[in-house]
Amino acid sequence: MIRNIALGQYYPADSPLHRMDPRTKILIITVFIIILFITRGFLGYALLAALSVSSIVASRVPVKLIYRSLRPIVFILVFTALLHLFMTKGEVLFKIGPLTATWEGARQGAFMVTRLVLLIMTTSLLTLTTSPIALTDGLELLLKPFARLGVPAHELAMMMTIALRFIPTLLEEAEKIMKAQMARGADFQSGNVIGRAKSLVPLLVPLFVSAFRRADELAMAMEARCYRGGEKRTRMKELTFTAVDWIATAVFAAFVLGSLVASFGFRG
Amino acid sequence: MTSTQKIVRIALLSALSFVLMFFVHFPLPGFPTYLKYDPSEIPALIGTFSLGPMVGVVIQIVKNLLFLLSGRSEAGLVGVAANFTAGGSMVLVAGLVYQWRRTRGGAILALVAASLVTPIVMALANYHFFFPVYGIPKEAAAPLITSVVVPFNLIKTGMSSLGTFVLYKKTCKVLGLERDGLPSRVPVMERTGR
Repeated sequence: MIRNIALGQYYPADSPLHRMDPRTKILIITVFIIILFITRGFLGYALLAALSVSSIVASRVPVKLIYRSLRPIVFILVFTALLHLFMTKGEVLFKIGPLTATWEGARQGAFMVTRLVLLIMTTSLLTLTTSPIALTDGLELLLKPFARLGVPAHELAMMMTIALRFIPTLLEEAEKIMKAQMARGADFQSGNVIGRAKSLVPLLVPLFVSAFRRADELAMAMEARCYRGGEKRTRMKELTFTAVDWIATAVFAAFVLGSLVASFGFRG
Repeated sequence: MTSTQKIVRIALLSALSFVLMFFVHFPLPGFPTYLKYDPSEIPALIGTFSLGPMVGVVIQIVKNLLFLLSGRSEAGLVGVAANFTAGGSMVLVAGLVYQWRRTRGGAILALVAASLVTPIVMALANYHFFFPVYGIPKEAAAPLITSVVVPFNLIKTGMSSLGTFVLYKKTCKVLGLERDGLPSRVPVMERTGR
């Protein structure tokens, strides 16, 4: 099985995007996604596309990696484009048998595809330039103000950190159990869906048991070291906003404003 | 059980859920290959049964956040949101029913109810939210939902429910979890030799 897998798809490099605070990146992506769904018209999308493409160039992440994130949705992209092309009423562009393609359809389809491509591209740019642990840290600090409202910000981040740390351990354990079962003649590879699902039972039971055991061991170790939640807890790496964050925010705001103005004009 | 213990258990179940989602997914025969079955609901359901309905929901949140952060989700943000809607409604329904009736029959009822409610929730969520996000018009979405989304989710929830039913019992037995789902005591731990 797969061992020593890199969990995230983090691509280490030295770029302005890598140096940005994860909080800035998460906020920017969130706003970007909202804007993506309210923008209208050619210029609006063109500005957002220009922003995404220039971010990708600035990030020094190979284009191949970005392209790889798009591959799984090619089917949906083609499907969406065709649906819009043939199902929108308007000026006839061309006909194939009973299907009529329209200009309006082509326009609509192009916008939809652009929106999806930008959505996937930018979110994968986030995970390509930020490690999962940095994202978890950023998420915790961003959620902290909501802790008063009952959002368990620290607990959530703690759970994610523990989970991230234990994923490779559990994988290794799964592999070990699998090998042990295979040595006793278990067959995980062949058979139909039901057969394969059944063969998972003797793998999953020990996996669950060991997960629970490890959890209780770790909890005991944490309590022995006086862990008592997030309050007044210090951290080894403090996140700080730097010049890169302010510049990025300014550039982002300029593009977003431009895109909104292009979509809705100055009518106010 | 202390809150630290609870946090760590949720973390480990989420990690297990993530591992199952990541490595044990396979397409079901007769469905498009991008709809894959993965047994990642099983740890969440076990968490829901042993620690309460909200724990199941938290496991789903953590699992999907991890999946999002790992950047390996094929359908990106939308896929993660869809997975959370399905998984979240499943564990919530199962957890609430089981909390009301903590018996073997209650567990069966909880799993059946969850398996039936989830496809309905997914049909509605897909119709009103996920298909429009992909830009698929509603008139084209309706036949897709009845012919693909609902049957797929039924099979998926059914398989996960069956898996949970088989596994929960066996896991409990080994761990000495009591009938009410909470462990009678911290299980005696022997270090597993490396």
